[in-house]
Amino acid sequence: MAGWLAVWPALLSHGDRARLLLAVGLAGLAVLAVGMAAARATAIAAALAVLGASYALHLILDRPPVDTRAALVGAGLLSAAELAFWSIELRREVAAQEPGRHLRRLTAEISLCLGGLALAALVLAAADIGHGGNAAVQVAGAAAAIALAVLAAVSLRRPQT
Amino acid sequence: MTRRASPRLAAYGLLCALALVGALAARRPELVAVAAPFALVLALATLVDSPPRLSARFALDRDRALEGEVLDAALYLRTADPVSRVEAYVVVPPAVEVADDALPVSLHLEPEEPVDVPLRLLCPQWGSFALGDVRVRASDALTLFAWEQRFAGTQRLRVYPRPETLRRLVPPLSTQAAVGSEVARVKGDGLEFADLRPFVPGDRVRSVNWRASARRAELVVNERHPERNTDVVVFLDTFVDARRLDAGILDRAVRATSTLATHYLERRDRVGLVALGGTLRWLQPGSGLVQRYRLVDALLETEVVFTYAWKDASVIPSRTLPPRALVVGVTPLLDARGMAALLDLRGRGRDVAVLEVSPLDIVEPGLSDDDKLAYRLWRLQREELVSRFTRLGVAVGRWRGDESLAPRIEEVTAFRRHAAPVRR
Repeated sequence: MAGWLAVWPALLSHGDRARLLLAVGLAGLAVLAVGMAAARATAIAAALAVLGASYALHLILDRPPVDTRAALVGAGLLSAAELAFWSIELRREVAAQEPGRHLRRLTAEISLCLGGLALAALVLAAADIGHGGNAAVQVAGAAAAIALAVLAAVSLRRPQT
Repeated sequence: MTRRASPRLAAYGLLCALALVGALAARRPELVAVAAPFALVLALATLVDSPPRLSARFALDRDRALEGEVLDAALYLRTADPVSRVEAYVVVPPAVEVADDALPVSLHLEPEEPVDVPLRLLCPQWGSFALGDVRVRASDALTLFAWEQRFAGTQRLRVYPRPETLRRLVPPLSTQAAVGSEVARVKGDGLEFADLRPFVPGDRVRSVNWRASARRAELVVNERHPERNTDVVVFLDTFVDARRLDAGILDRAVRATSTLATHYLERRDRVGLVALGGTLRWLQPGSGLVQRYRLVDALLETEVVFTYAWKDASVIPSRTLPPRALVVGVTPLLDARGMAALLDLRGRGRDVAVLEVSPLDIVEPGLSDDDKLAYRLWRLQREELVSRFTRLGVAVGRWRGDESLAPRIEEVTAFRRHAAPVRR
């Protein structure tokens, strides 16, 4: 999944831009490999940011029309992230003694990625409606960003005892 | 419960923020779509952010065991809320082992399905141990959060030293008045033949030795030695310990003390204990099963407490040393204070025997010539110390912990038989 995310923006581009996007994508892939080998969450987060930046650079440099495949990119990034973090957790956690535990986790991960894909597609559909600089859509986007920041703060509050 | 968030929540929050900022800066809605799945995870995190109502308890099948025994135990896990994954661990001291690597455990818990995890504990080392602390970590299906809690336990496990089999014990010079298993030197009613004497009115007819009476043409009766009990005080030197890896002098000394005390008590003797070291512990002589448990419980608390203070036999309460009691000193002969106390007791006319718990297999010579010379001098010094005891008529049995105790007891017995102490 990460490999596809690394090379796909370069495939959509051409010339020097394609080489730049490929270099960024491969750099992200390398950081991801190092992060998984060393079991470092920070490195995995940085790798995902670099892979996402590769796609963002493609959007900025090549200026395609609204790319409906962005939902796949988002879901792909999420699935790569979940699988990477899961591999780290497997190395540290106690061996499962009840049957079906990994299957339950896999089912939850698949559901999460499909849910993310659906949400991303919904966002793209809404963006398509608001294409053209509708101010109401821009305000809604800003409100969504603020809500997300609040959500992150609530989720990441200090460990409770 | 202590809540810990998965590190990926922070990573997803950062990715969302970067994607949204990028979307605003580049005016590309695709980046919002890229951020949307990560935002979904953050939203889900708020839904699972509630601690599960768990309880955990550890219970032992019994709280006493012998060295080397296997104990049954169980870990009980209950929950009022479904928990996708529970990891549980029972804190056990290093001297206790959990068989089959059964800990930690990882389970799925449902409210209607309590889980009892059977455990087996191996007790290779004697001692008194506190058990029962259970550490639990619960997490959701996606491990977005982990909830940790410690359930304190108050179980106390006593592992007693396993006594070695001894066929013979060091016999005291004097016996006491109660019935026991030691043949007394005095004459009275018993089984062992002592002497012949002329019949006097009042003697029982069954005591008449008819064969001797026929030879002497007068009635002669048998005199016998009665079986009496004895008083034994085990003197444990706890000033110093020497250890290498798992082998320790104090462990061996406690094991020897337990062996001697157990066998003397089985003979219906009265056994007391004096542990002289950084702290003084004593137990007045007593007999029976209760005294046996008192002795081993006192031994379980034995430890070396370092001190510079000089202590000798004068600090020992007189009521712990009955008259005519045999004092068996169990000592590594490493500290002058322990040796001085035993020599002092001998000087006061006490019946003393010494069991040396040799540290020679633990202490090795160094590599340099000076170290080797120092080692030889140290061994010579130990020989001189032993000779000080033997010159005073005190038998010294030199015991290495990796061999049987019985031959050393025989050595002490043989020395005492041939070196008759002078009575004052």
